[in-house]
Amino acid sequence: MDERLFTQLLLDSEAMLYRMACTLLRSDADRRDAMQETALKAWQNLSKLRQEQYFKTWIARILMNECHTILRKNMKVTPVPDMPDQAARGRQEEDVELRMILEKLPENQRVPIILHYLEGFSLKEIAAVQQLPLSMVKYLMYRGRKALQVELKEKEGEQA
Amino acid sequence: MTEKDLQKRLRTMVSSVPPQTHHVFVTAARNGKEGIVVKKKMPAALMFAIVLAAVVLTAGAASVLFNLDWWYSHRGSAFKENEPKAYQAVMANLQQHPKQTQSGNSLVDVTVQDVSWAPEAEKLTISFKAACKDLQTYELHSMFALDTDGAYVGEGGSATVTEDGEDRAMHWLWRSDVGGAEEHAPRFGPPKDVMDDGSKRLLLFENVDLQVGGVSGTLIGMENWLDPFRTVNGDVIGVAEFHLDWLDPAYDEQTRQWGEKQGTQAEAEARIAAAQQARQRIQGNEILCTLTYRTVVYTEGMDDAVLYGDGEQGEVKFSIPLPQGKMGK
Repeated sequence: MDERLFTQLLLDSEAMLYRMACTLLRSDADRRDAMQETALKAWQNLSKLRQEQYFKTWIARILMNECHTILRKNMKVTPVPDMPDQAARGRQEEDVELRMILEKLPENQRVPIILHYLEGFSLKEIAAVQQLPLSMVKYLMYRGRKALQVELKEKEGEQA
Repeated sequence: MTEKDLQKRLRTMVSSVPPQTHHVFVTAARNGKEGIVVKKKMPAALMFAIVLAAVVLTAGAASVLFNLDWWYSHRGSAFKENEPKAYQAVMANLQQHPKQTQSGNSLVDVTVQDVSWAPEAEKLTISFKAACKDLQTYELHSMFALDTDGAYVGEGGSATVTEDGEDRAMHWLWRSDVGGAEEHAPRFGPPKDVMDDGSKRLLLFENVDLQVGGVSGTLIGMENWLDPFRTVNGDVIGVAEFHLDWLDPAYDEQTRQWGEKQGTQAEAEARIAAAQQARQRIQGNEILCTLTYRTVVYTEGMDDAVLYGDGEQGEVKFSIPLPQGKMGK
């Protein structure tokens, strides 16, 4: 692939990668590391990317691997409290309730929901990113949606 | 909550990229080329051997058993490649046709084909087969094959259905049966149009829970995944993996911390109590497990509460013999 096009695709995917990193990692420092490593690994493995159309799933897969590497490393050290970027905190108006409910879901249910509803990945693409059979992705989506609905309904009930 | 509502709320949840992260990412994206490593290409002979093996496996698929061994070589080959140690642990502990009894369901026969208790990998893995007892009347499919796209919303949904629709009022059935030359391309649509024989009644199968030592996996909070699929013979196969982290007493404290963090202490304590009970009950030379399931006969326009919650229950009790000291890690 043409290097200029590759750089552009990489830059265009920044927001999507960050949102994915947010669903997998709690600390801003970890997310930053994952994003940087993803860009570097993408360059290292450029020769493996045969077709531009697969860029999105390919780069998402690299990010997921990086996040998992960081999570594995974190398991061996004392956890550090989340230090959110102050500037970012001022800008965002998060749906905190939904974030908390999503965090309760197992990763394998949370990730497909984010990728599908937020990033517009097809189920086939999610299967490629998560390296799971398509039927399992469908099942995990089903379970995740069901759990989300139950939790949201409960919250609505509490507020009413 | 509709799919669109969920999408809308998710969009308000996400944050924009913080400046520092943006800076390091853009720098790496623009200058990352300097770190390129030239990878060796796969030798042609090796590539040929892989292709040949794939052809041989495909040709023999018609007579194959859809058990764990098959699953890890086909649908779950990514696990084999990405988690070789866990895969080896599962296969090293594999027991075929465990001792079992089934009861409670007049419509299907359910058998646990094989099981692997691998505490060293924190995994309990099983494969089971559901076969319809009355093939003249019913056509069996997995419950997960109904509306797998998640677009079904029921009343208030769109009556005009399209492949990309997100608020379908009617149910659709998904098909992608596996096994042998009759394997066909995935297809979906209203059940009657998608079934092999639309004059038959659609029978849906769903596994509900796995009890270990008589304690519900759901109560323990035992994480799991399931791959349900249908074979060209009309059987529904399920491959399921259950996480055995609760075998380690450290699970209790981790769960307690999780409960405190999430503000769900009562749920955490219930999980801990269930885990402790299960640990006590699986001392000895074998573990008794129960797979519970339900079947429901689908009819067009049926009440969703019945479709998703009622039906005929059933269960398979099976035992996993253990070598001495094999219970824990």
